[in-house]
Amino acid sequence: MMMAAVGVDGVVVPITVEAQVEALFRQEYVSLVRLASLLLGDRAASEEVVQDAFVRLQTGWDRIRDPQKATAWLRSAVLNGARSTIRRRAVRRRGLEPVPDVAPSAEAGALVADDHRRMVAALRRLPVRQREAVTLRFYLDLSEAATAEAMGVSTGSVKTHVHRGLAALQALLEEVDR
Amino acid sequence: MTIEDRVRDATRAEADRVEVDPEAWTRIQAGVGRRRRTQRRRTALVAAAVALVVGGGLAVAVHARGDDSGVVRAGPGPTTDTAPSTATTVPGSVAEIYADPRGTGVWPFTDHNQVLAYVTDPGDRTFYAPDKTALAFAKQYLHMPDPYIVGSGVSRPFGATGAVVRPSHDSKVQTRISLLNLGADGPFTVTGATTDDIVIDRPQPGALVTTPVKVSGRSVAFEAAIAVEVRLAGQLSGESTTLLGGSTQLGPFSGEIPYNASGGGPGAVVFYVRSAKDGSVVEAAVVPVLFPADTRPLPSP
Repeated sequence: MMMAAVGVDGVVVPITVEAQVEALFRQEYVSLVRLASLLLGDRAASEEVVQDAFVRLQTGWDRIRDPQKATAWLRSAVLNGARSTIRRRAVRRRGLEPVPDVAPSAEAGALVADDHRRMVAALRRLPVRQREAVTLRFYLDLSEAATAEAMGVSTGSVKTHVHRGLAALQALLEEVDR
Repeated sequence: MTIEDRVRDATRAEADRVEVDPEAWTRIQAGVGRRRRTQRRRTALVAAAVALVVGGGLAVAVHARGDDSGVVRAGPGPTTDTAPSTATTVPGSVAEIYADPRGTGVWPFTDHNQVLAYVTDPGDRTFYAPDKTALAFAKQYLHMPDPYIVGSGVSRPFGATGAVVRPSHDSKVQTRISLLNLGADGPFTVTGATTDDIVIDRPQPGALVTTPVKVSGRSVAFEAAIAVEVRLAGQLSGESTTLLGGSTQLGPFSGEIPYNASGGGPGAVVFYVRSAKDGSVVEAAVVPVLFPADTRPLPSP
């Protein structure tokens, strides 16, 4: 699917798929890597997940029914990729690769306020769906409807996941405080 | 402050610390190229498989018609002691696709005859497992001293997968090995390898190259030195050449690597980073290329 734009001289210029994806990349890439990083706690894995989503977006552009929703599609793809990574880690945990520490390094800890550090560590201990719902709602400030669309669930489920996630966070933080 | 506000502040503070790869767009476009090539290859393989099934059905029918007993029997099964009969490459056939370095990979198979011989051999099963294939590649092809797999099975469409190896248990350096499954129940072959410390601009995967092979990219390594080798059909051709990139951060390198012209075929250009401690290979990037039979320099476009 190729869109068109009117150039400065009034000539209609076709916008290639690559140009459209590049525009999305410039707009969304950093935010998506940060979202994935909050879910995974691993920058390299997060970049891989997000880059893979962009590759699939560009190569499957014709199959995207509404290009206006490409950002929402990318967000869903990143969530799916992060879930897959978490599943693979769970498998590796039984055998080959140690799971990355949920707690930041000492160096990072020095940079980030203690409350933030404990909150992020607690967030990463939540079940995947709760972690996603809480992150989308409060990090990206998405509405319940947009969160539901990204997660591929109903708004009712989002409410439940957020409610349980916040309660679990509260409990985890209190546990640490004791 | 509510728990919602605390989550908001904490996640944003944490997210702000995340720096992104400045080469991300380049990597995405490289991934797009790889995916498109794989899609085209997959389409060609499916078409070839259909042709084989149709052709096989016709052969059985012809065989049955020539049999006076009227009983339908399949022809003789594959054997391991004779070379496959596809000595010449038929355009568009599976044989032609396997002759493509991106189709057979760089190791352990470099042509379709090797693939066919392996799948008809009931003995060794090493290359039916992606982990074992990657580990064998790290040991035998890259000569890592004591490699081990830290992750694998990152399934990608069309039979592609990957494995991550480290050169030894006390090293954190990783090489990502790309593998391709030659058929749903077939063996795996290595199609290349990448590492964060060597970013290659030239040659591109699948490029047709002549001697001297022109290479360029960016690297970071102990004393800035990386070793570059040309492998033809898995064997070292010519000598290892040392090029200089960056020593503390990625720095540009470029050079020309001569190789001994001994016929064309699939091969690879291999870039190594060696250990500062003992000179052993710690990470590597492998780019599959194709060498023409006629090694005279290509004419200018």
